[in-house]
Amino acid sequence: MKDSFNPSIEPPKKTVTLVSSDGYDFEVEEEVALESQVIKDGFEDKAVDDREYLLFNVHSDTLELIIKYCEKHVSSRKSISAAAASSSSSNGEEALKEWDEHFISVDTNTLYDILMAADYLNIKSLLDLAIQKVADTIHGRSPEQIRKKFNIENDSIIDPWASE
Amino acid sequence: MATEWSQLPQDLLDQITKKIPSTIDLVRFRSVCSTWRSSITYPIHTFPNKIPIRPSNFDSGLFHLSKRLILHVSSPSNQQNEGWIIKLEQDDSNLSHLLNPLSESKIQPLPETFPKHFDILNLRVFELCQEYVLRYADKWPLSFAGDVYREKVIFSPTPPWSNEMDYVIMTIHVSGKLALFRLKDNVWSIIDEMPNPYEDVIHFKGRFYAVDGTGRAVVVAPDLTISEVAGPVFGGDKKYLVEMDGELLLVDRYLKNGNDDLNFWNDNEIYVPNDDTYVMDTTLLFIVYRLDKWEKTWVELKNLGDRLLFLSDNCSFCAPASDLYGSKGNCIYFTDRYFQSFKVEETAFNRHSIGVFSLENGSIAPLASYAGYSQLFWPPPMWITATTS
Repeated sequence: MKDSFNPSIEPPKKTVTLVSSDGYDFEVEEEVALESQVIKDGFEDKAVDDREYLLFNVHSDTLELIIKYCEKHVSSRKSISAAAASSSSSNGEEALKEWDEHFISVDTNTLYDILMAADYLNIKSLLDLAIQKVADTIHGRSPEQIRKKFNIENDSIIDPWASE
Repeated sequence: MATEWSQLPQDLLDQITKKIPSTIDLVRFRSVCSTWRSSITYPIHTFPNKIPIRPSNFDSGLFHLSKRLILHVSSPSNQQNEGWIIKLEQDDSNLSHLLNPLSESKIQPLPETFPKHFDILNLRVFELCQEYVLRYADKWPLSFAGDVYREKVIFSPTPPWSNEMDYVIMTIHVSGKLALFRLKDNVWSIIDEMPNPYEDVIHFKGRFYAVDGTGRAVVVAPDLTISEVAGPVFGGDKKYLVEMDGELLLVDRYLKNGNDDLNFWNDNEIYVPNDDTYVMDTTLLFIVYRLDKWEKTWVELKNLGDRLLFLSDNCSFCAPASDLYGSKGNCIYFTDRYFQSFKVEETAFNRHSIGVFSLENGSIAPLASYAGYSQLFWPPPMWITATTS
């Protein structure tokens, strides 16, 4: 019997409020919000009843995805370390990798929003994931195909082979 | 919300380009738009096309380490994916030269039908291999024959061998010992431990491996200690290391004994019989092994399936036949300096011709004798020569 995991003695979860650029409130657990380095920095100095963050650069559609990502990572980390503590075998890391891959398989517009939000909120693992996805999308494509994929206009009239 | 990929901030563009290992992908990245273009300089940062080396512990002057790319190019509009295998090397003025994909020789002169401006950017390009060579600086770029170290040079883009401030290259010293050059220290280090002279080196899964003439293979640790990964197989005359689908292969080449025929060989000229193609059939066969890393032995591999192996002195690589139109799997392409062709129209390509060994039936023959296969290398496909500008 492991009575140390009895949920009844756990304190109530602390939460913070994230406000999207279009004015929606998202109430999330503290540890989920702390995945963002920007929120983490200076978090302790903020009064407990003042834990509300106005995210001017993140639309609610994107914020919903970002929260989903952070929640998944917080809970996976817990189950991975729990499995390690009880020395039971776990494929948690592999499963999380797979989940990440599925999560980032989005159209390039959504990918752009996730990339910019991860950069703004400074969520390192998500930023890396998005950057890798961009690099993978570029791989093997001709410049014309890349432009089409990312909806970029060709503004260069110079010879791409020429040196600066 | 409209996305502005072309307006990505510089630090994000930096992070993206760092995740793009292929030079050709970087060149294409750069030609997407002006912002992306100005985000990285050319030649590209991941590994310079040419870097100077002046080791402080050998009085051997200045070297340059150059990178070459072996590519499969095909036309985006061609349904059959009929392609062409080329080796590209850039000179000081950023002009690219075409080389025989499996040797050092520059393809020169190019056919008159060859386009003046050969733009590979909008072709379907598939990078088969990157190779590195060391040269004396003063011989560059007058002659391609100035290589000091004929041996293959390997380079790892990742830690522990390389990071943004440092990199390490490994090659085989003239003594047959392994030699590593570390940029930070600017010295060559020679590993003395050597039961037999080493014959080939490879960068495989982030680690440096080497094989000697008996087939004994070792892995080199960053502190320059070596440990054995497979015992000897003895067998043939020349050992090659190749990566295939995440496995390390040993290819053992058997040559014909008693090279009396070498009397014909004089100053790169061969006695010419009254035939177009003269074959001094010195390579007899190849045997392929894969590494069993748990048992630390080489296990013979009788069938490569759809895969093709390409062996050369500067790099060896593997490709699926299904990606190379006009090729057949379970074969080894190699260079044999005794294969010589004297057809006039092939002179640009004949210095070190290519042979094909079939694992299926053990047959071995010069590439020129297989009608379809030779098109992978020479002559350039019609869709290139037909679009003269």
